[in-house]
Amino acid sequence: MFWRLLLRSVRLRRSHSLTAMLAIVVAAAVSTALLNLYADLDAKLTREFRRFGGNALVSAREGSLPVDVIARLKQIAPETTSIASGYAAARVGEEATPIVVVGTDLTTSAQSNTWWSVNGRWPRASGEALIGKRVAQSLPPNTPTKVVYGDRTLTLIPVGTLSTGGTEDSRIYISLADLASWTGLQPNTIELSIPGAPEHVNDVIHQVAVSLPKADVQAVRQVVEAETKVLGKTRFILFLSTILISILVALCVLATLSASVLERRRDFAVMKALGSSQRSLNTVFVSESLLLGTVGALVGYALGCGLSSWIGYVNFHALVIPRLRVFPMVVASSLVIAVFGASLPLLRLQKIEPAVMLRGE
Amino acid sequence: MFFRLLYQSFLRQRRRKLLAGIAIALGMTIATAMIAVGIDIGDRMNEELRAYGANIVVYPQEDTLDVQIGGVRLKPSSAGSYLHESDLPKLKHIFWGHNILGFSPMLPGSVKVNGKDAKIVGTYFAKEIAISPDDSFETGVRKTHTWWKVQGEWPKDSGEEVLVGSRLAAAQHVSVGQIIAIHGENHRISGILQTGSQDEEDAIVAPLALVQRLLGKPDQVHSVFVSALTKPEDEFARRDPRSLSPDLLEKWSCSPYANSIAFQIMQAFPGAKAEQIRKVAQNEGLLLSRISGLMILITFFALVAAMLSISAAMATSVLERRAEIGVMRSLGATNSAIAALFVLEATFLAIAAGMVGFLFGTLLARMIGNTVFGSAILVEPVLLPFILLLAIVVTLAGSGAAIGRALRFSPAAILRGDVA
Repeated sequence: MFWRLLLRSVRLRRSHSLTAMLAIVVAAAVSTALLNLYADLDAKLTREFRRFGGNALVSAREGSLPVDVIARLKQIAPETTSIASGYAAARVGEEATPIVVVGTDLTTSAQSNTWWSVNGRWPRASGEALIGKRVAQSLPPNTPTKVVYGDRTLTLIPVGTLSTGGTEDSRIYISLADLASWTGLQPNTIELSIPGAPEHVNDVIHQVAVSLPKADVQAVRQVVEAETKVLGKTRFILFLSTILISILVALCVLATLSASVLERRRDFAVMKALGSSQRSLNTVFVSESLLLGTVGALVGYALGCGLSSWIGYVNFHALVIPRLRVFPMVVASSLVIAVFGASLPLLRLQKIEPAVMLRGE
Repeated sequence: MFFRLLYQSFLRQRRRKLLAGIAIALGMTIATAMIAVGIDIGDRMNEELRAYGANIVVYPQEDTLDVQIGGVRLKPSSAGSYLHESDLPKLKHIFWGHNILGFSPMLPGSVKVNGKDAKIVGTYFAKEIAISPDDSFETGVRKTHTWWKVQGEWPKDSGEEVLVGSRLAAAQHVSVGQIIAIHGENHRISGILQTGSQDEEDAIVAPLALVQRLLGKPDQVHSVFVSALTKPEDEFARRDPRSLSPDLLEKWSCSPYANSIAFQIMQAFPGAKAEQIRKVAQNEGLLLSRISGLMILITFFALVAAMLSISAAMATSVLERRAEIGVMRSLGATNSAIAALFVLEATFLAIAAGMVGFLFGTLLARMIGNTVFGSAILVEPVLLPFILLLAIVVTLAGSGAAIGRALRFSPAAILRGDVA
């Protein structure tokens, strides 16, 4: 009897149930999407911040870094990108102008240093070089250039001009292998790009410092500080918006549900007049509301996950992965609201005599 | 008669109107606050990002190459040419002068400290600069290099005290309050400087005037770091100003792109070269567009939520008044008269509640601004008509369907209470 009442009520009053359900679905979807975004914000924004380049610097105090340094770094923080570089003070041109030639991991640089604007192309073969913009002004264009380190000379083929607005503009970049065979110098600094929230970055920096006692490991304070600021503020604003919007939609669902129960006071009166107890009446109405709440929350959660993924795709060009821990939060709060939405009007109806209600007063 | 109905409806059904009004006001409060925050967040975050430091660097056109490795200058710094310190106030006179939040001149050199060679950098800490007879501007590394941390105190720009970089201090075994000899002159160390970069941690950082005197280079500075509020770069910003038609050039110069500000600086400083620091300028724009994009989408959510709650409240309030509609129709009121009554009622309600919502939204935005950014977010009054229009549209949309449904039933059925 109970189940029949429940099913018939949902089937026969389809449009009413649908309105209430729609409210729940939209509310659950909006909350799910916001919570997913909030949970994923750190990961998404720190990824954007990594475009500002490395957030830590490892430099040898004397000479060069140990040979297995990259392997050791990989072990400590597997997802860290590292760019090793070695520097040589050389001379270039007829006037023997002093210049810094940098041997670096060109493949990783090309991927990570997105702000490096290269006119021409990145060096691929041995002997090819990237020439800083300010160096290029003083060199004849497109002709092989001789650089001298001590008594050893290396002939470079410029393939691209580099422009960054920083010190890189007055340097020449070659591959690490070319630098080693030319000068015998090994890399002495490594720029680390450690992903994750600022706290995690500090942990990794500390571990690296412990494992490389003969090197200086420093956070690039400028990057870390700006990141902490912007991240904290964005997180707070999103949190605030999520709370405000969730409260608004929750109130809306509450209002819709109680209105839909209030509208059925005639059913309520008939059942009561026919002798059903207050308790079984409450059970019927509350279960109906719970049924709507559950289905609405499930559909809303699914929609919300789609919505947050879409936002991630549009805004961050990466999907926002739905968080499983959002699910119990959304379902539980939907059910709580559903119970409240049904019981508040029931409390009001309890006080009215069925006869009065049926007369329509 | 019509207006009496309208008037009485507001007078008699105060509780019901109040509930619907609260729903509208609440929805509009959140909509107003979110729109205000959404509009403002780009500028706010831009200011926060200035913590990244300068985004434009100015140096002499004829400058020879910067030969330094890890902050060690390999070339005597007497080579090369200089900018004039007395020209610096010109930076605030360019068209986008107001967007220039701060600048720090740098004059590097080498000196003998306690008998050993060391690097020295002269700069402004927080110097008051007169940009016009009755206007001054405070600038220096404390504004442009906010990540510099001093243990001890910052020196005065006019004083004789100096900062010592933390690595140099460790190497020379000196600490705050001690006296060091620079070129034979005694100077007190007011603080130890930490910057996270060897460039300054290995050097003495001193007031520009002092370094100019020590190096014998009056009025000279080597480079200037400029921190400017810029507009994120787009396709148009990357065009070469020399290739633009006069109309386009004007449009280009009138947008605060890092490139166009750099271009104006070059016009103001003959013989100087200004460039955007791509690492900062390029990435900033990207990051800002991501954050603003997120806020726009969230604002959209807030609007949907507000609409939803208002529609729900209006639909309920109309449904509750079905009996009233039944009575009016059985007394001979036409459908259009009833509809007009309800629409007008809803419009009044929307305007009144929308105003209240706008007011509270303004307060909410102010509060959010104060908590998050430490300065209020102001809501443009231009937003008011938009919010009111939104309130009216949403309210009418919410009640329209319910009114239509109530008008379809026969009055007798409604009055008997047969329509469930």
